[in-house]
Amino acid sequence: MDKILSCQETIVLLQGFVDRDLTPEESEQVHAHLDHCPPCREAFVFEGKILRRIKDAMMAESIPDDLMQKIIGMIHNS
Amino acid sequence: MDASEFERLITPELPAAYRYALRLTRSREDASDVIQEASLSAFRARNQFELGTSFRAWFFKIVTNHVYQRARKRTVDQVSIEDAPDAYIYRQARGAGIPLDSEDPSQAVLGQVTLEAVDKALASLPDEYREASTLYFVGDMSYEDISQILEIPLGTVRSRLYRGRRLLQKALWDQGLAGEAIHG
Ligand SMILES: [Zn+2]
Repeated sequence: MDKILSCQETIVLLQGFVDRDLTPEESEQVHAHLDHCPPCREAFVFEGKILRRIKDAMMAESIPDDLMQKIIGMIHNS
Repeated sequence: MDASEFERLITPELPAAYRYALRLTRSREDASDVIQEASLSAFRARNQFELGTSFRAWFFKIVTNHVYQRARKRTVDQVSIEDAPDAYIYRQARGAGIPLDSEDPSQAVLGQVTLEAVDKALASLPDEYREASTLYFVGDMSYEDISQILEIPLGTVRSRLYRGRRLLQKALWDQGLAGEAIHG
């Protein structure tokens, strides 16, 4: 029989769960907890969103094309 | 390895490497210099790269070195590295009575997470948390990639990423996410 996680234990495992970095047993336990605990489910959904949002902010700016070209040129000319 | 083969390896790494350098230096000019210098160093040292190992890890290690060679005096005071609880922003937002479960869920809080806010929060993190977190967010890096780039064990990557995210959330919240979300 799987261990029943408390809300506290679930929150601590949430980051690993978001990254799919838990063992299959832990992952199953978190799943089981989220299935019957709306507050933790809400925390999980929000955690995913906030991480996504931070990532999107950091991905917003791309390498300039002319810099790419300059680097490739440097490689071929050195 | 000839120049064309090197170009083939380095080209897919340049976008993430630039973002990484940009977030760490917080200057387009510095990031541009760092990437050029790192690319040239990597090219000159290309025969030291062992085929069959991760080019990405090898190149990002060089980029990281160049970032630190250039590191200027930190202008932002570092937060004390007292830890924060998991799901920090969620807890604080709930505590402040901000509804997160409405039809337009959590936009009041999420909308405040701008690049400027993230940069400011990142800058307040101790270096080891900042570099691991930045690699995670800008590069679609696996824990294994980060472990190789920073030359730290997987368990350390995990603890730095988790703690880095908690600190990042705390810094974001403390710099005014709450006030903006409530009054903004
Ligand atoms: Zn719960």
